[in-house]
Amino acid sequence: MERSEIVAELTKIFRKTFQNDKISIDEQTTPSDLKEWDSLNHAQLIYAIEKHFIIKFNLKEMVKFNSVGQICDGIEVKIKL
Amino acid sequence: MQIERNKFQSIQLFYRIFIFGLMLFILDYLVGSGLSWIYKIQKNGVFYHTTYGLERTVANILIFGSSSANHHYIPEIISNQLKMSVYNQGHDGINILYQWALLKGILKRYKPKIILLNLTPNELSLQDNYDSLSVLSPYYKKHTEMRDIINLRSKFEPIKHLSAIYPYNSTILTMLPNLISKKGVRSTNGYYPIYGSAKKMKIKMRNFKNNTNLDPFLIEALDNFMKKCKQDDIALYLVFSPWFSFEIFETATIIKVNELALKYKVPVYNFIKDPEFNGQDDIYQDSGHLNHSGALMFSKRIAKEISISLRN
Amino acid sequence: MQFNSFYFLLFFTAIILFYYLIPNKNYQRTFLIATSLFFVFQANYLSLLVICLIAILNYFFGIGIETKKNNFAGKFIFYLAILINISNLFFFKYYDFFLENLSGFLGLFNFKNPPQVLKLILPIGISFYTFQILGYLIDIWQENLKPEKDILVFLNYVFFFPKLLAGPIERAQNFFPQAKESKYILLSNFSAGGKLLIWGFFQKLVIADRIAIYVDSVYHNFDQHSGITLLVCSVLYVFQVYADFSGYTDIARGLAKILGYDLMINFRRPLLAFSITDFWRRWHISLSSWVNDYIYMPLSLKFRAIGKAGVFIALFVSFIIVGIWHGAKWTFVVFGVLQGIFLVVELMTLRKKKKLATKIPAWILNGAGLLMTFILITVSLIFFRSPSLKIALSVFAKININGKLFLGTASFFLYSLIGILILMMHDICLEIFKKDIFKFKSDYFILRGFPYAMLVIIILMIGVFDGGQFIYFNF
Repeated sequence: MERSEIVAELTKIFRKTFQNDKISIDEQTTPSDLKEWDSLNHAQLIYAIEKHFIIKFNLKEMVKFNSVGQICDGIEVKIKL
Repeated sequence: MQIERNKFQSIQLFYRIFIFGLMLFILDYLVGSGLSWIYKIQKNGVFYHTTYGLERTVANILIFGSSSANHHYIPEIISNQLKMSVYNQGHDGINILYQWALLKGILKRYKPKIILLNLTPNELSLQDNYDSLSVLSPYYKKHTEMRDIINLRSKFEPIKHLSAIYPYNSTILTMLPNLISKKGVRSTNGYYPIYGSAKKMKIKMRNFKNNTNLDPFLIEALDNFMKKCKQDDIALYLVFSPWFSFEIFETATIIKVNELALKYKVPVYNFIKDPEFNGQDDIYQDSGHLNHSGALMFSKRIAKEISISLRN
Repeated sequence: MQFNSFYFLLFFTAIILFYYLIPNKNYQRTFLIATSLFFVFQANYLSLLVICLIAILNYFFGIGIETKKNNFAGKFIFYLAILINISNLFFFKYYDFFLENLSGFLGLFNFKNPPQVLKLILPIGISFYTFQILGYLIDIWQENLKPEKDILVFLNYVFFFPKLLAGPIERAQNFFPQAKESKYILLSNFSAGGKLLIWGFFQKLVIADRIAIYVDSVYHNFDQHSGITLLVCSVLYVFQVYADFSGYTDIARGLAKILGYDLMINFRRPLLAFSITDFWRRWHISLSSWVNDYIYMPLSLKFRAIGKAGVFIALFVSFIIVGIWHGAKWTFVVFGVLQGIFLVVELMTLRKKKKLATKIPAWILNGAGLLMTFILITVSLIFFRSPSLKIALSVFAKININGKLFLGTASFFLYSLIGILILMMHDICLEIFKKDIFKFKSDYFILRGFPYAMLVIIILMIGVFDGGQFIYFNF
C-alpha cells in the first residue's frame, strides 16, 4: 500500500471517529492541530485504525504515535509482515 | 569571546541590581515614611493607646498585662478608690517580653508610683515564636532600649528593620479608620470593655491545661521586670485575674511566679479560683475574659485589695 | 531551610556567586549537586541516604535497561527498577496507612494482633523524584529516550534543589540538554528569574499565607462556625492552594532560571478553566501530564477494545493515583475519585454540550462552565484541606448561606481580598488579552522594573512574615 493511500484511509477513519467530515490531515498533523484529537479520543482512534487495517499494535509502538506520519510508519510495518 | 560577553553581562547585571535596589530603597523610604506618619497621627485605636502609654501618660498607677488586663481593669473605678490617676495599657495577644520592653521605655520618661502586672495562669509557657513582638516594631528606631527584646524574634530582625515599611507590616487597614478622631472601643484611659456573656452566647467554656514547659526568656523578662521595679522603688503588684473555672490551683507558671515574688518580696493576688467570680457564666465573655459587668466587679475588688495593702 | 527565609536568601546569593565564578559545566554541575545534597542534609539524614541510594541505583538501572533491551535481562531490570522505586515510595509513605486499614479490616474478623506501624519520617521530595525517575525509566523502556551516561547530569536531574522539595516533576527530555551546558551570566536569565521570584513570593506571602490564617482559624473549631463562614472559607481555600503552590513553583522556576535552567510551567491560570477536563490541563501540569503520559495513556490504550468504558476506567484509576499521590489519607482518595466522577460525567455529556453550543451564545456557556468548574473544585478541595473524611463531610454538609459571617480580624480578611484581586487581574489579562500586567514596555530599565518594585513594596506592607509552611512540603 502506498503512503498516500494510507493517509487517505486514515482521513476517513479520523472523520468517522471524531464525527467531523471537515477534517483534513497530512503526515505532519499532530494532536495539537486537531481540536478533537485529545487524550480522551486517542485510544478510540487507534482502535478504529486497528480494526480497519486488521492489525494489532503493542504498547511500545502506540506510545510513538504523536503524528499522522508516525502512525503511518506503524501501519506500514504491520502491513508488510 | 565568551568571557568578554560574560564580563559585559556581569557588569550590566550589577548595574541593574544596583538601580533596582536604589529604586526599592527610595520607594521603601517614601512609603515607610507615610506609614510612620499615619501611625503617629492616630487618634484612636490600639496603636494610639500603645503610643500614649509608652510616650505620654504620667499616671500614678499603670496597669500592665495582655488581653485580660485591658478587658478587666476599669481605670475610673480604681482611680476613685485609690485617689490616684490610672492608665490601663493592657494589649491583646502579647506576653511578658512586651511588658518588659514597655517598662524599659516608660521608665526612661517618668516613674509611676504603682504598677499592677496582670498575669495569666500559663503566662510563662514555652512559646514557638515571639511574633507577638511585632507590635513593638514601630518603636524600634526611636526606642533603642527595646531593641534587644525585639531582636529575640529572629536573628535577622536588625536587618529587617532597615526597611521603613517592615515595622508597619499589616497595619495599614487598621490605621486608616483611626485617622479621624472618633470614639473608639476603648475608653480614654485604655480600658477595652467587651460585652456579651458566655451564658447568652452559649459558648463552650474550656478548662485549660497546666503547661509545664516554661520559657526561659519569659522567665528572665519577668525577673528583670520585677528587679527593675524594685530598683526604681515602684510598688509592684502581681495579679492573676479570675477564670470561669480552672482545674488546678497551681500551674507551673504560678509556682514560678510565686518563687520570683518571694525573691523580690512582691505581693501576688490570685483570683483564679476566687468564689466571687468562679462559675458565673454571665460575667464572662469566654473562659478567661470577664465582660463589662465582670470588669466592674473585679475593678472594685482589686481596688479594695490594693487600698488595704497600701494602708498596711 | 525554607525558601521564604532570610537564611535562604543569603544562602542563595552565596550559591550564585560561587556558581558563576567558574563557568565550566563539570564544576557547575558538581557544585549544584553538592548544594542540593546540603539542602537535603539540612532536613534529615534519612532523606539524604534514601535519595543518594535511589539516584545511584537508578543511574545503573537506566543504563542496564538500554544495554540489555534485546533480551530478557532488560525486561527483568526494567520491572525490578519499577518495583524498587514504587516499593520505596510505598514503604515510606503508604505503609502505615495500608497497615492501619488492613488492621481495621482484619479487626472485623476478630484478628487480634495488628502489626506495628512504623511512623517513619517521610524523606523530603520523595513523591516528586520517585515519579520523575519512574518516568525516566519508562521512557527508556519505550525507547523514547537514551539513558544518561554522564552521572553528573543524571544526579543533577534527581537532586536539583529548586525542584526537589515540591516540583515541578521534570521530564528528562527537557532537563538533560540543559544540564549539559556550561552556564554563563546572562542578563535575561537574571531578569526573568528575578521576576518569577518576586511574583512567586507575592503569591506565597501576600495571598496564600494570609488566607491560611483565616482558613486555619475556621477549621480549628469548624463545628462552631456558621454555614456561610464555611462557604466563604472553602472558597478562599481554593485561592490559598492556588497561590501557595503556584507561588512555590514560580520561586522554584525563578531560582532555576537564575542558575540557567528552564523548569516546566506548572500552572496555566487554572481558575479560568471552563471544565474539569480543562482544569487538569492547567493545574499542577507537571503531575497531571505525568499521570496522563505514564498511566492514563497506557491504560486507555490497553482498554481500547471496550470503548468508552475503557476510557472511564483509565480516568478513574489515573485520578485515584493523582489523589493518593498527595498523601496517605482517605480524603485524598475521595479527592481523586471525585475528579474521576467529574471527568466521566463531562465526557458523557460532551455531545449534549456541543448541541447546546449551537443554541446558546458562547459567553453564557463559558460563564456557566467557569462557575460550575469553580464550584466543583471548591468542593473537591474541602477534602484536600480537612484532616479527616469525617470532618470533610461535616463541613460539606454544613455549608449554606445562613448565619453570620466570621471575619476574624477584618483587616486580614481585606488583605486577602486585595491579594486575590491582583492575582485574578493578572490571570484574566493574560488569558483574555494575552498581556502581562506587570510588563511595562519601555526602553528604560527603571520603568520596566517599577511594577516589580511595587510588588516588593506590597509584600513588605501586607505580606505575612511569620513562617507559613508551604502546603506541598509534606509530599
